[in-house]
Amino acid sequence: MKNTDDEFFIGWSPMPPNTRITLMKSLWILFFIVIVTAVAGSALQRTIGTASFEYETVRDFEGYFHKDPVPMLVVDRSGQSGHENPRSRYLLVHPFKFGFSKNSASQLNGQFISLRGKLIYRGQDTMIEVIPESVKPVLRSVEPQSDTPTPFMDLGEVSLCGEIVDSKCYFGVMNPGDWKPHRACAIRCISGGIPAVLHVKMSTGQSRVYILASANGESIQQAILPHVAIPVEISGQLRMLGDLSILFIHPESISPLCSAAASVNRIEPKEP
Amino acid sequence: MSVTYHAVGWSTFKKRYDLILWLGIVLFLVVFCGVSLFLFPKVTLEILLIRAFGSAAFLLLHIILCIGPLARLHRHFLPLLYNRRHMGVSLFILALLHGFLSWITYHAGGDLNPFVSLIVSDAGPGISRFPFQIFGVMALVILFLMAATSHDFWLVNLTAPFWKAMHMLVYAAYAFLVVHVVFGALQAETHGFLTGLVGGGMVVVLGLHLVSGWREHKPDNQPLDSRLDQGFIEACRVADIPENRARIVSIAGERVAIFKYDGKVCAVSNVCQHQNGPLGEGKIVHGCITCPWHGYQYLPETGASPPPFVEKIPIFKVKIQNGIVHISALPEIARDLC
Repeated sequence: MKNTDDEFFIGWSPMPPNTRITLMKSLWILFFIVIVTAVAGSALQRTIGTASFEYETVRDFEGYFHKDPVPMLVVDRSGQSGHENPRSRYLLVHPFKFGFSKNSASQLNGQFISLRGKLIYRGQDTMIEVIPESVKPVLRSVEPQSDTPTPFMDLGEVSLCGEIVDSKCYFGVMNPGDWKPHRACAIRCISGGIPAVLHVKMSTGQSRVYILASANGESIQQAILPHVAIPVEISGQLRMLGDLSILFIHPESISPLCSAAASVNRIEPKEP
Repeated sequence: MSVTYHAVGWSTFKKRYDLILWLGIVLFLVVFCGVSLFLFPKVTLEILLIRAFGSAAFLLLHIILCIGPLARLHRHFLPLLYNRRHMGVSLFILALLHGFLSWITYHAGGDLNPFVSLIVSDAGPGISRFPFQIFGVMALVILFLMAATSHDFWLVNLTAPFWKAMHMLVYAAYAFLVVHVVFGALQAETHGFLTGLVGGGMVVVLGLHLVSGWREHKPDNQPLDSRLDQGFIEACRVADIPENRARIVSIAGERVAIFKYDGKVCAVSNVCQHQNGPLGEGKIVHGCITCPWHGYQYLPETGASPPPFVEKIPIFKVKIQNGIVHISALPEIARDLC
């Protein structure tokens, strides 16, 4: 670039004509760059899913409470149209980055309860952010089917590649709620008792989540924190509880790198 | 130039500059948020804002870093440099919004103090666990220091060399932010075009600095004949100096600007007392040497700013023999007019 004229800009004097022309051209180019980067930066995002959090809507729920492998509310849907499964299972969490209180869970286990909360859902995966003081046991004259525990359906040993995320953010409280930028939040959420899930991207392009539980059937938190939000391979016993997929694992079976292509499960479990 | 301190010495040009600057920022934010909401309506608001503010800040930092070398390469870009400080403050505001929202969203409301969480939550062995948040924090601290001292009050009280050195930390902030983006957002958003944008931005910033640096250091690479003739050094031919402009030479690593005007020649330090701008790239305007960066002026005969201003620059004695300019090897302290 050569200076071909003797123009000299000073902030306190009128702008020379050729400088003005160059400046106007530069501004158009700058605005073009601004628009291109804004469009590219927004349109090329690949991590935002179809997850929802009804943060302005508080709903009433009734159902049976089960604390293992993770706190959940089982709601009887038999007789209702539009529901394939006669029972809906909602994972239960508290506000902010905390899971359902363990003390309350022990007291309420197996009871029919009512509660108020906000619905969180991603596809078929559902969760309720419970208003803690709204949880109350309900006495019922007729016991419906839901109080009888549904047996696990054992699908055998599997190895899956995916990413450990906290279910609350991934199901919709934060969207996107996965991968590196969300790692710190996922660690805090799982550490605070929110159920950890393995997010697996199937070879078909569809995503699926597996609730992680320890081999003895309890929720698993601190032991998996180092492996959160990075590509991992996990081996464990896969069981179905209704429409929930639960992977019972030993934390030491988690390896940080997938032996196959990351994010693609090596053994795709069949639907029960 | 001003003899008293004002929060902002507003002028029509500065007002237009800021208007266009914030028009550009708002345009970026509106387009980014609009396209995101159209294509991904389920995105949560805080994440959308974190991404929009962060992307806008990163782009603005690239623009700020490119203005300096562009203005050195062609003087038509000097208007962009004139009010660059306001760009820096705007950058800090965007970065602060990004950082504060990220901190609240990802760290608050959990079982650990959010400040502690910020430090310990994303570290670990391996590239996938390489911490990226702490680099963002370090960059934000630098941007804060720069924004807080982005005023002539601090420039005068910290002295120009120290102020300038502190503001050169912007390059450290840029390096930290590249690490922050590469090991943060780009680990999740893996589209090649986005990686290309970050890489392309680095190439443009580094390329412009290398080219302008090479041109700026030309005089340093052409040392003068150091043989002294009664304390004078042969500098250049009078005919090689454009009228009302300067030729820059280097004496023992110090740059000297030799101006020609009204049939006279003078030699002064190349360093403006305001922000250490390159006086040799300036011009004689209304009989004064005028700095290309912010229009600070000095009388060529004395090196002192015209009253009531008080800035002074070192001057060098000049002798002309057979059309050759000779300048004294040692400078003199500027003489007061009054």
